[in-house]
Amino acid sequence: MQIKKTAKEYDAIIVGSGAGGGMTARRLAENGLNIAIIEAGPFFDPTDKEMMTQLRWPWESPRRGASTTRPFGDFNAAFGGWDIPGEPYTVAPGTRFGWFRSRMLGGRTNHWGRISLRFGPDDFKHYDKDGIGANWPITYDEVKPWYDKVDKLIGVFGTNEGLPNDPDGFFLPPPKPRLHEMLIAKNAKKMGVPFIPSRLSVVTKKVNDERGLCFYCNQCSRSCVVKADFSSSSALVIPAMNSSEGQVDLYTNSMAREVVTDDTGRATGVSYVSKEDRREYTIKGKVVVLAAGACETARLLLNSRAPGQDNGLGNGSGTVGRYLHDSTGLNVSGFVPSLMDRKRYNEDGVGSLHTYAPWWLDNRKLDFPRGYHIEVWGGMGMPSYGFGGGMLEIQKAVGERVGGYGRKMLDEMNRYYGASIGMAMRGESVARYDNYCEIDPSGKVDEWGIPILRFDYKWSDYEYNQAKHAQETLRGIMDQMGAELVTPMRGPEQEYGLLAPGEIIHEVGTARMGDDPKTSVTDKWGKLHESPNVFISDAATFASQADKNPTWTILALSWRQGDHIVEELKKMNI
Amino acid sequence: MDRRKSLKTLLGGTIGTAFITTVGCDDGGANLAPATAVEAETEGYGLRTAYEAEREERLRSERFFTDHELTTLAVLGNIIVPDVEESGFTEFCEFMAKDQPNVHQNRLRGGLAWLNNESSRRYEGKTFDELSDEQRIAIVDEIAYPDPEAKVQDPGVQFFNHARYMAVTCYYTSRQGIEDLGYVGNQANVWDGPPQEVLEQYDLEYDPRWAALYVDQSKREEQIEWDEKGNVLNG
Repeated sequence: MQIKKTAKEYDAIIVGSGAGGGMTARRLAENGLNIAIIEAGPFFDPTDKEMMTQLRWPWESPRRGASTTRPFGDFNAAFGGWDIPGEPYTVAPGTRFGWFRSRMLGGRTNHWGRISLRFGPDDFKHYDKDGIGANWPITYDEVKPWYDKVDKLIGVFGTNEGLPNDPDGFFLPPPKPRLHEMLIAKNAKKMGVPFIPSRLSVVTKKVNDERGLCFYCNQCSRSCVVKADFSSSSALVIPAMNSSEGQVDLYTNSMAREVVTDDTGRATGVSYVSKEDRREYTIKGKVVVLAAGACETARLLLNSRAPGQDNGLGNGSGTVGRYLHDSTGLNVSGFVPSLMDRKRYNEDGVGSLHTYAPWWLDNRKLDFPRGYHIEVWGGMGMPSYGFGGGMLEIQKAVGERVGGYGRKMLDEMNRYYGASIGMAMRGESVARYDNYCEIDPSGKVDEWGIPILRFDYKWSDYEYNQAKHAQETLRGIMDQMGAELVTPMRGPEQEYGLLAPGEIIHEVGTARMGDDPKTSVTDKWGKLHESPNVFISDAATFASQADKNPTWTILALSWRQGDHIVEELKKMNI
Repeated sequence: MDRRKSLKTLLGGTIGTAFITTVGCDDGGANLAPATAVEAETEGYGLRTAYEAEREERLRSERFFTDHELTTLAVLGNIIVPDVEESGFTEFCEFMAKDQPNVHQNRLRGGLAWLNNESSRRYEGKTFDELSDEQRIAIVDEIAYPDPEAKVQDPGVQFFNHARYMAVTCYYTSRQGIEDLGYVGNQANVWDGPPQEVLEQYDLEYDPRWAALYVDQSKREEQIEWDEKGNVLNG
């Protein structure tokens, strides 16, 4: 059945099915609304065994898991990546930006590390603390009840530590640490860096009847067949579709192009291009919720028009696309000779780290204004393409003759297994007006005929000084452990090893919320200042990123927003 | 919902509609029995997009290496890793040469040509596969050990480095190599920390601050309960 024009008017149209769109869909469906979800990619259900990549072996892939078509390897559940055929973007000369997109049900929730951190009280009011960046129009205390609900619905393990800016929650009990994690924590402690149990949305103990229990295969990035990790498809969208209260129509392979408005700026629907017949269609709705991901949502607004809104829908402030910011990131790895000849046992564990270090210092005493947390990796993981690639360097470091072949070489390889470790900084960057995405002024379009984005983003001394500090800290912990082959120190000419903006895939801020319509795009509910019925439920509304991963805050805010939309509809305010 | 239909939509986009209405694929609640849920049942290696599937079909219809090149690769590969051909070495090289042409094609083809030229120069016009075991090893021993101090390695050393990289990766991503390595994961299990003897070997113990807070795996199937402050009441 081809739906070209449907006369049906939905209560709400949601663009995107990741964390924000999924949560909004679920809340609206459970409150009895009829909704449409527009998703640019195909249907995906992690519990479908024909789709399943979890528990497959590297030899089942002809490329042994290589990352030729998927940046995180052949078994990663997320389609797409930083480059998608037919859907280009550009960057301004002399700048770097990588735009990771996952066109599929659940979006980028299919691949991530499940690190699920609440923002803290300071994160919502940093401007008040130091005069840098912007305050959010809401406080931690306003968001806390929704964080609590998200914890209890989806499940996140961790421990209550009483830390002032890394709030406690309703945590499931955490798994015990792995060997290398205990060694890193022990040595970091000597350096004054405290590690605590990590906080991941992985079900270690029964949280409710919907979700399965983790069976410790280390493969959350493949999306879990028993729904023990948080993926938007299995934890939010598919439950919404199965809800007996409302009605959910899912439009897959549908590329949203424009928010359609009437002559007052009120949205009447969304037009999209079907990827199957390359024709345009329009769906009508009383409310439009944009959750396409911060940059895609900005693109949609900039490609939409309303009377008197010629620079994009909701863009009277000129800040749509502005204040774009990603987490800062850099990685340091090393080889630990004392971990050679390890006893073999299954230490797969959950999909990523069992321990991490939240930001532990006071920025008032440092030459950079924002913090970072430390992630770790290592252990006896499943081999994949590239395994053994560091052999020559390790041989040199441990004093073996470099090179070789045959059984002797394999015996050496076996001795080195499980002795490589790594640490990463993931930090907060400062949102700046000068970092932005815009519609590419060259007039280029993607293969669906939609004008593409151009990015213009540079790190500042805030981030460089933070990266320098992190380099020194992580290398100090490596030295304390006696690690060899530690990634060389990167100096200012190499941007202290900072990854390009966009590479951490935490981009936020392109339609930030605020009380003043002159400097922000949405109000504190994520509703456009300039349209009565267009909401944003992804991280575009973030006034600032924290030294945390954004997903848990996206979920809390979209739940809060979903309940707000339901109330406003009941009161006939929309 | 019809699983095959959704898969077909996904892979080919040929169903002719992007419209999936509310579906009833409720499996009756949570699946708390992972061992039964995770039995491998299907062909292939999991979901591919239409782009990926078409790309792979095209790569498989093409041929890069000649028969003689594949024979030479097999002979060399089996020297680098004994019996690596049982791990699918030449098939792997053929696929990767087409999958990542800029990485592999010239390195492997040019390297094989170098190897045959060297064999021919030394041994009366013979190619590498026509040499005796001793003759092959004589050449291999000259290219298998890079000079760690050299800024640029000789062509033969560079080729052997790449061939070794391919053989080692191929082996350790095969059933045989994973068994040799001793990787024992990729299966449903319950993690409860490193074995006690390992903790003792590295002089480690759990921080007493958290020892009692780690998940009690004997109670994992019990519904979590918290007090109003978020303290877990039933481990």
